[in-house]
Amino acid sequence: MTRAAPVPDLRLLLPVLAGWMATRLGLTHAPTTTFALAAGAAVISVPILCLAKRSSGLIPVGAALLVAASLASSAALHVYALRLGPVSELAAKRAHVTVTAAVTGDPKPVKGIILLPVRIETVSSDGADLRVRSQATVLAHSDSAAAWMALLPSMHIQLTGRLVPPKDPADGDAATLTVNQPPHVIGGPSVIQHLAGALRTDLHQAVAGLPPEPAAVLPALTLGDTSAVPATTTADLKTAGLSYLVVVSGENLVFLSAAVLPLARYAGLRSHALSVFAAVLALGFTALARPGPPMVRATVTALLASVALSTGRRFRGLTATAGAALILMLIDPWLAHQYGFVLSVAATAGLLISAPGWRDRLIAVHRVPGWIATTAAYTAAAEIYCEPLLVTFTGSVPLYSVVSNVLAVPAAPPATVLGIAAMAGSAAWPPSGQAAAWFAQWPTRWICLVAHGVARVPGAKVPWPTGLVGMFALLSAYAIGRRLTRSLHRIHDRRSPV
Amino acid sequence: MNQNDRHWSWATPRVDGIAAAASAPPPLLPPVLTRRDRLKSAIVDRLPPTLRGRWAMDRTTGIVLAVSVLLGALLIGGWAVLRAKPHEMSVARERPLGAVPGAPEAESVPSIPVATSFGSGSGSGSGAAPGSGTASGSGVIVDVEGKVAKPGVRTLPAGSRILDALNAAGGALPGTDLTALNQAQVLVDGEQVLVGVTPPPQPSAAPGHGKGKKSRGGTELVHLNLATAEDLEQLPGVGPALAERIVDYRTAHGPFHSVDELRQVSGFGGQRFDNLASMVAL
Repeated sequence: MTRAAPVPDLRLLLPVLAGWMATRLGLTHAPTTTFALAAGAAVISVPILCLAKRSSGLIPVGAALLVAASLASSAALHVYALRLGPVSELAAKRAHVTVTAAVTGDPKPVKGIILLPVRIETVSSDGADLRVRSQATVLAHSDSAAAWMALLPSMHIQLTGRLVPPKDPADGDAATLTVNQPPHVIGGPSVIQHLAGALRTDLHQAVAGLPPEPAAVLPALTLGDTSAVPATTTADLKTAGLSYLVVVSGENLVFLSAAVLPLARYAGLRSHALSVFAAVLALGFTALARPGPPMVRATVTALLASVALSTGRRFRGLTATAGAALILMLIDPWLAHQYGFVLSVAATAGLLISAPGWRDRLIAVHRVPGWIATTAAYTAAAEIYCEPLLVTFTGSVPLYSVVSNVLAVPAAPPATVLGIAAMAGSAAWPPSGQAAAWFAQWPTRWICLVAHGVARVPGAKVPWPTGLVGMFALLSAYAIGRRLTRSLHRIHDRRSPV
Repeated sequence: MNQNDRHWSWATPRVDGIAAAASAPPPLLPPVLTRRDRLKSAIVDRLPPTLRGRWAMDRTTGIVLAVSVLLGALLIGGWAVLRAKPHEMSVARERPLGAVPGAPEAESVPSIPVATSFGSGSGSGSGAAPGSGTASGSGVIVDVEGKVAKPGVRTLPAGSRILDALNAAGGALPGTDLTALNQAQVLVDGEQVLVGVTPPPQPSAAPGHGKGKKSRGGTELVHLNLATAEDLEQLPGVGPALAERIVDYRTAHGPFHSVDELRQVSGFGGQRFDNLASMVAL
């Protein structure tokens, strides 16, 4: 209404959706089955693409079929590659092995054990030393928790333990390695990871003087570093529908870019230089924040956007997101199976597809002030698009999440940006970092206050069935809700024609 | 039910066609096209405005998109497969002393500290063994290392002796003590000839493995570092395969430092180790 909107470009949507489903199929089935199905789809798609009339409605279907077949074959090849190595053979034999491995993520304490993602590089068993390349999860008993928690990504370690088959083969692990002894570090972290680790430590030092809760939550808001967040706070954030704030994701990058890019522009960076700066910023922040799937997707989207901007093409959100998802699924099919990735794509889709319309309606029809309308529409859209997936494993619906988001979200950008300032300041001159952290604690406290407050309201967490049943129940609830709002709209429109 | 049928009749007009034909053919047939159009516009109306956009693709775009994704998928997937292929590290030296039945080299594996030669048949370790090609008809391939003028892999006629291998490698360096090297020994394909050097951890494992059995009958304890595969098979629950694994482990890692180290050998992790622990010694 307000914008004479150009026709949105939705051409990539169908291929990406088809590709996502095909990738999931490829990950959960035997490579031969997948190949057979993919070959079938490809055989159907070729005549469609070649023979259909030039701009017939069948062309997108044919393209989507071939894209799906390609992604399914890629997934099948990755699955085949995973099972090819000796690591999965040894895991099937539950062999005792000595391995050297590169740490690929942060150690995560879970109920008395520590999970650590690694890439096994050499494996010694049965007297043979083999050079391999297999992703695996180390499952360590937390007797020596300190030694494990001190590990940084890109470090090399030597481990002795037993290889067993992975819990969920679709996670992309060739094996799980259960280890009883502390790791033996044989190679330090890369320069970037060393720097990132040092900056994280700087942030922890900067917040050391704050009260315990803000001190724990600020690194989480800034970098997704939840190592110190108390369990009650995590639970309340989840109940209030705010837990995504403490998982590092695209929005941290958006806040940071929004704060830093105008400065860069002010400093005289233009067009190409500015795009390059934005790309470096995105990559640097990703390295610092230990990329989870949402972060990686956001980074690739940001990179695509900066490429698009610097080549002078108009950047379209949906096209960039769909393109990023497509590229990422090609490179790492296992992402298609991770909730983080799927949720982040779903949330972005919600923001791009539904949120603008809702916001406009809130402003135009319901006369809601702009910033409230924007926050409400965007958080509601992200929430509503994610919830059918989330509910399959959380088993509860955060009923007031829109309210808590409208209250809390305005505090998130200052908290993130001030947190990053505290980190950078602490690295340069510690007192300045402490000062920034002192300022950053207020938005952080506000977010915690909202979380605790909303979580106390009765009915904040509606129990819901899990799994597919929960998903369909929620979708039906959506359909009913939509009917209701439509009729409400109709009544409203009749009463006060705009 | 009835409502449902009517609602979905655009998609399956012929399911109950025979029954329906009698009752209502004239009003159903003509508006088929407009029905479809109405459905289309009904769907479009329900979409949020952001989804009322350009879905259609022209043929060139479709083909370019699909083919580039296909190429990307095959390249990246193929690369993943290639990268996942395991490589054996430092082929000759790390290879276990596989027990090759009937292989002649077994008789001549003395633990001579100055120089020795190892027979290395097809590795019994897991994984591909790219280095252990069988003798290609006419000759033997041996690796001559140590104090020789030109160390490296040499191909020699079948039946050659260590002396020939030495000559092929340019001869021993001046001052190298060759007394312990049996220069008359016949070469076996895949063998490594070490001249004048002490091979690192392997020799201590050799006496146990070689047929030069140390007599060690009467005691009940089986000595892990001394026992041959046959000795190890005397242990309860240990068959030829498991005994072989112990020997292979010893060959690769050197002598056992503790009885507990037996746990590292695959197959000896849990219950089996507990059962055996009291029956073995170093």
